[in-house]
Amino acid sequence: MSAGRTLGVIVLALGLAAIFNAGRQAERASQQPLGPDRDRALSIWEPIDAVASPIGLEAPRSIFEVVRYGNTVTGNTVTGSTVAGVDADTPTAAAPDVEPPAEGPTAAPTPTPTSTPTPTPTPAPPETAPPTTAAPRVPTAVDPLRVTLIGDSTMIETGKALQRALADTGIASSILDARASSGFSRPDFYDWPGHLRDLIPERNPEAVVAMFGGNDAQGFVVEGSVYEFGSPEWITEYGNRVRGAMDYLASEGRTVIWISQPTMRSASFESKIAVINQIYQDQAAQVEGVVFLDSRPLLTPNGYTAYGPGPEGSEAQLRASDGIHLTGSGGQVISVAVLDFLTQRGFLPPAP
Amino acid sequence: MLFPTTAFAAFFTVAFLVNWLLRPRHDLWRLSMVALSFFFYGYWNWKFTGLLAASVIGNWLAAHAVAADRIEVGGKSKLGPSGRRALHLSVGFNLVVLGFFKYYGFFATSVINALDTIGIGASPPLIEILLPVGISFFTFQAISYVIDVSRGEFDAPMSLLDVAFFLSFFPQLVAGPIVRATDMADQINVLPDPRRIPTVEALWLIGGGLFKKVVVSSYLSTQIVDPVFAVPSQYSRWEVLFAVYAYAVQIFADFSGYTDIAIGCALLLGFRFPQNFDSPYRALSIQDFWRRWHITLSTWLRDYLYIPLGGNRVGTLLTYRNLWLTMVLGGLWHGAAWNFVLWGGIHGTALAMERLLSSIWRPIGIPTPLVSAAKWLVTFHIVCLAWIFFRASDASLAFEMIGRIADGGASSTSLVSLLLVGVIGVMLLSQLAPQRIGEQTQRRFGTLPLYAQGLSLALLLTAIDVFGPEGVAPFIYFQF
Repeated sequence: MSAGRTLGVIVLALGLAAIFNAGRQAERASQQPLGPDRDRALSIWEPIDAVASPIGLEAPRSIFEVVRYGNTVTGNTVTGSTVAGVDADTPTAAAPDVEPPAEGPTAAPTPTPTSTPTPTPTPAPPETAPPTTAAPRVPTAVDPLRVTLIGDSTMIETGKALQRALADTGIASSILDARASSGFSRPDFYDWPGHLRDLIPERNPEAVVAMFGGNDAQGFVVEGSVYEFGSPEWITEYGNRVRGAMDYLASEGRTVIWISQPTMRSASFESKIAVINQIYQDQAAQVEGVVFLDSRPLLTPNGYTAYGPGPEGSEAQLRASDGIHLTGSGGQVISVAVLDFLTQRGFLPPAP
Repeated sequence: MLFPTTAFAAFFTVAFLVNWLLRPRHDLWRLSMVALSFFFYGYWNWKFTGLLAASVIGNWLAAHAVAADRIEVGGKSKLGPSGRRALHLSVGFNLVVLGFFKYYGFFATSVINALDTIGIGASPPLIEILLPVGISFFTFQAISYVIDVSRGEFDAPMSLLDVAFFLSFFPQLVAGPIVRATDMADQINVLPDPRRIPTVEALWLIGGGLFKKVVVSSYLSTQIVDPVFAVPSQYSRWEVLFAVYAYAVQIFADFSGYTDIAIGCALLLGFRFPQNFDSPYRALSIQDFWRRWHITLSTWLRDYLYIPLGGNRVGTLLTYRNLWLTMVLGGLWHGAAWNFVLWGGIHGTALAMERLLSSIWRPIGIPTPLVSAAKWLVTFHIVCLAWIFFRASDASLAFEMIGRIADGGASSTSLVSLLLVGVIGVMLLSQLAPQRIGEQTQRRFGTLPLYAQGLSLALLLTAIDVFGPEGVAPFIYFQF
C-alpha cells in the first residue's frame, strides 16, 4: 500500500474513532482537574460530541457498551470498575502507577453517575442495616474479623501489606478496594459515597481502613461555582464530604482507621497535602469510632526521605520513585501500625 | 507516552508524515526522526534525554576508537591493545551506568544492613534514583553495537546520526525488541519504496497488539492475578493455580502486545524489526521456549554472554554452568531482586537438566503424540513455576503461592469464572493456530476499499476502548 493511502486509512480510522467515542472523550475531559488542559480537551471533544450524538454517530460505542455492561447504560455514564492511570494533579511527570488496583473477589463493574456534584453528598444510611458490631468480639478462623480497605492509589501498597498481615493471623479476612486517581474532590470521576453505599452493606465490615487524599488537591465545581483548592469554601465543602463518609463508615459501631497521606517529596505538593491531612485529622476527632492514623511520623519523621527503617528495622526504600506513592516496604510499615491498633482495641489477640 | 493513548496516536501520525515526506532528504530525515524520538522519550521525563544523548555520543566515540585499532590477521578481525581498552571501557561504562540506575538502591541498602548486622554503622549514601524508562534495552543495544564493531561486522563504524537514530528510534526505545545495529544500519541507509508499505501486516500487528494489551492483559490482571498474588492465603488452591496460568497468559499478552505494536509502527515507517515471540506456549522443551520467548533478549544473551563464556564447547559441566549463569544474569537484567535470580535459576537449571536427560534417555516405544503431550505439559508448568517467582513481590510470597497450590485450602472457585477459563484457553490455543488464518484475514482486509478499512479499524479501536479498563497500566516490561 502506498504511503498516501496508508495515511488516509490511519487518519480516517482515527477520525471515525474520535467521532464514535466523542461522548466518552468529552466525559473524560470533564473529569480532568480544573484548568487549561481540561478546558482545551473540552473545547475539542464537546463540539464533536454535540454534532455526533444527536445524529447517532456514537451508536457503535453504545452497541459495544450494551454487549459489555448490559442494556442499562449509555455512552456517557459508564466507567470501568478498575481505574489505573496517572493520579490527577500530581507534581511529577513520572510514570503512572504500575499496579492496577487490586479488588476483592466479588468486585463488579461500577457505573459512575455524572451528575453535577451538590454540596456535601453525605451517604444515606443503608436500606438494610448491617448487624451492629459495636464491641470487639473474638474472631475465629471460621468467623474471621471482617476488614475492608479503601482508598486511592496510595492505599494499594499499604492495602496489599495489610491484607497479607491480616491473612497471616488466620482469623481475619479483608478486601482491598483501591481506585487510582480517585478521592473526594471529584465524585464526577469516581463516586466514593455512592460506591460505599453498595460496598459496606455487601461486605458488612467490622473495621474499615481508609487512605485518601493523593488526588484531592484540586478545585471542583459545586452548583456552577468553582471552589479553588484551599479556599475557605473548598475546605468547608471538602470537610463536609469527608465527614459524611466518616459518619457513614463509623455508623453501626464500626471502627474506622483513617490513614493520613505521607509527606510528599515536592514541597509545593506537600503544602497542599498538609491542608488535606489537617481536614482528616479535624474531622476524625469529631466522629466517634474514627481514628486518625498519622503516617508521617512512621515513614518520614524528619521530613521526606525515600529510605528509612523498614518493617523489621533494616534499611529499606519506603517511597516509590515518584515521591508520592509507597513501596511494598513503606506499605508494610503502615500495616504494622494498623495491626497494632487493631490488637490494642481488642479486635485481634496479641501476637504470641 | 504510552502506545494505547490518544497522545501517541497523534504523535505517530505526525511521525509518519515527517518520515515519508523527508525520507528522500537523508540527513534532514534522520535529524527529524532523531528529534521526534527524543521528544517521545522526553515525554516521560525530559531529564533522561541527556542520558540517552550521552549514551549515543559515548558509544559512537567508543566504536570509532575500537574500529581505529582493528587489524586483519589471517582473514580474521583482531583488536590491538588500544582497541581492546576502548572496548572494555565502553562495555564497562555501559554496565556501570545501567548498574547505577538499576541496582544502586538494592546494593546500598544491602550493604547498610549487612554492615549493621556486624555492628558497623558506616554506610554508602542513599540516593533516590529514578529508573530511566528503557535503559536496559538501549544499553544492551549500545553494547552489542560496540562489540559488533570490534568483531569486524562493520566495514566502518556508523556515523553519529546513525548511532543516534539506531539507539533512540522510538518504536523500540522503551521495551524492545532489542534490535542489532547490523540490522538497522542497512535499513537506515536504504530508501524503501513509499508505494509498497506493508500496511495491512502493520495494522494487523498494531490492532492485535492493542487488543492483547488493553483487553486481555488488563482483564486477567484485575480479575485474578492482582488479587491472588497480593494475598494468596485468602484464596483456594484452584484460584491460586488459575492465577498462575492467568499470569502466564497476561505477561505474554502484555509483552507480545507491546512488541507487535512496536513492530507494526516500525513497518509503517519502513523498518522491519526482528520477531520477538513465536507462539512460546507451544514449546515442547525449555530450550524450545527460549527460541520462542523474548527472542531478541535470548539471542543477545547467547551471542554476547553464553558464547563468550565458552558456550557448549567447553565440556559438559562447564556447559551447564554457562547455561545456568546466562539465565541467572538474564534474570538479574530484569531487576535487583532475589525472585528474578530464582526465575533465572529455574530456567537455567531446567535447561541443564533437559540437556542431561536428552543425552541419557530417549522415549523409545512410546507413541509420539503422548511424548509430545507430556513434554508440553512439563515445559508449560516449569515455565509457570518460574513465572510465580517473576510476578511475586518477594520470594517468600512465591513460596506461599506454591504452598497454597500444594496444600489445598478452601475449595472456593469464585474467581475462576467460565469467562476467565475461556480467555486463558483461547489464548493458549491461539498459539497453535496456523499462520495462514492471520494471512487470509490480512489479505481480505487488503482488498477492502479505503473507507471500509478505516471504518473497520475505528470499530476495533472503539471496541478495545469499551472492553478495556478505564486507564491503561503501563506495559509490564517498561519497568525493566
